[in-house]
Amino acid sequence: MKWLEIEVIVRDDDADVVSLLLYELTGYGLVCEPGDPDGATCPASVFTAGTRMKAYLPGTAVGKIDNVRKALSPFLVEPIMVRELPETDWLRAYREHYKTFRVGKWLVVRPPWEEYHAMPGDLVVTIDPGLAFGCGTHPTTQLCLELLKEVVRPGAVIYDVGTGSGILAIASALLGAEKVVAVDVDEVTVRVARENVALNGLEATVYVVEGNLLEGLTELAHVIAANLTAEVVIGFAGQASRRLRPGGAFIAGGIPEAGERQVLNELQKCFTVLKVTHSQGWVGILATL
Amino acid sequence: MIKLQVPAGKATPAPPVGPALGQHGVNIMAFVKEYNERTAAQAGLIIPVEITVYEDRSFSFVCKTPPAAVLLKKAAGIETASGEPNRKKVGKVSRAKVREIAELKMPDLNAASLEAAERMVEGTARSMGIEIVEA
Repeated sequence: MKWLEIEVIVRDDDADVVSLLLYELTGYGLVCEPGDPDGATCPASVFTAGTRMKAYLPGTAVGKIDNVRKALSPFLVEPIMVRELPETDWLRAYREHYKTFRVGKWLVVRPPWEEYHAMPGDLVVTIDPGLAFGCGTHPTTQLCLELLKEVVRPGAVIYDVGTGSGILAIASALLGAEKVVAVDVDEVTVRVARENVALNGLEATVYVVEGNLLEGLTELAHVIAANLTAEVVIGFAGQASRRLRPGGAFIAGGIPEAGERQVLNELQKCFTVLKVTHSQGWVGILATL
Repeated sequence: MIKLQVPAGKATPAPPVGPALGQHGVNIMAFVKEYNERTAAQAGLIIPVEITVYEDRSFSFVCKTPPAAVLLKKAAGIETASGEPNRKKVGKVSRAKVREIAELKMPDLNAASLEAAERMVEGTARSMGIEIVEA
């Protein structure tokens, strides 16, 4: 179905009323943006860039445009613009952004709507990207995945702290871990991670729990992965060191290169740093007790 | 940040959600499902929603309070706002109701105090052709 996009620019003070009128006249919801996408205002005028709103009508409802124009005329600072959107399958268009891709030589990340025939040695993780960080495309996720490959052994107990989509926890289970506890502080994220664990059929190995870092977890782990932020990793290092078995591994991600030195200094108070990896401005750190 | 206003419980992959999210590679169905669940209890209202898209195209969103104009329309029991607010009044709301709406909207308004929020709601009422009455 074709759609008509109606764009109006109004003063910020009128935005509230216009949004009501525009919605009543069209009925499908609105997009609201600053009038000037850069947020700049006209320096020689008291008029700011205002608010830009876009409303939508089915292509067959072109006759309603005049009603919109008439009803909004007292509020418009620029003439209404109408454009026809090409017929688009929006779901398919979004899915074009995600293809099956490889991380390093061993891991394949696949969205659930794509088929993939695994090659010998491939580990295939299925992730439905969306409401949780970690669909596998970000360099910091990839750095952590590569470091996990080096330290996860069959039978290991793993904690994945700030699991997001669950990608690190799922990869750990595929690498042979016996038990993986994936923790996240956000309840929506926990639900998404559980769905991804189920997509991979790993409910018996990966337990996704809502919690703050490692609070309440007492068992000592072989590996703790923490793809968080530099500040959280620094604050969390001491707690992590007390939840690791002797010789256990700590993997830290989410660290921009600018924060590398500070994080290393802090980690060295609790751990021996074994390896530091870099990709596109991000840092992965592997440390041991 | 993507800002939309979507009918509560009725988001679909069609516009405005599809084109707004699709161009950023945001999972449209994940948004639609979650938004409809979160807003199901507010059916009949239009809800502003702010969507933050992260570097790997994952996202989160926050639902805001309905626009003041929507709440005023409901409070005044009017069909719609006046097209000529200075000349044609279409309804009345009490000052107490304005305060109630201001209190509800306070978290989402850029207002330093409740009094400032009330003035903003009053401004919206005036531009809708709604009179404020004391009782």
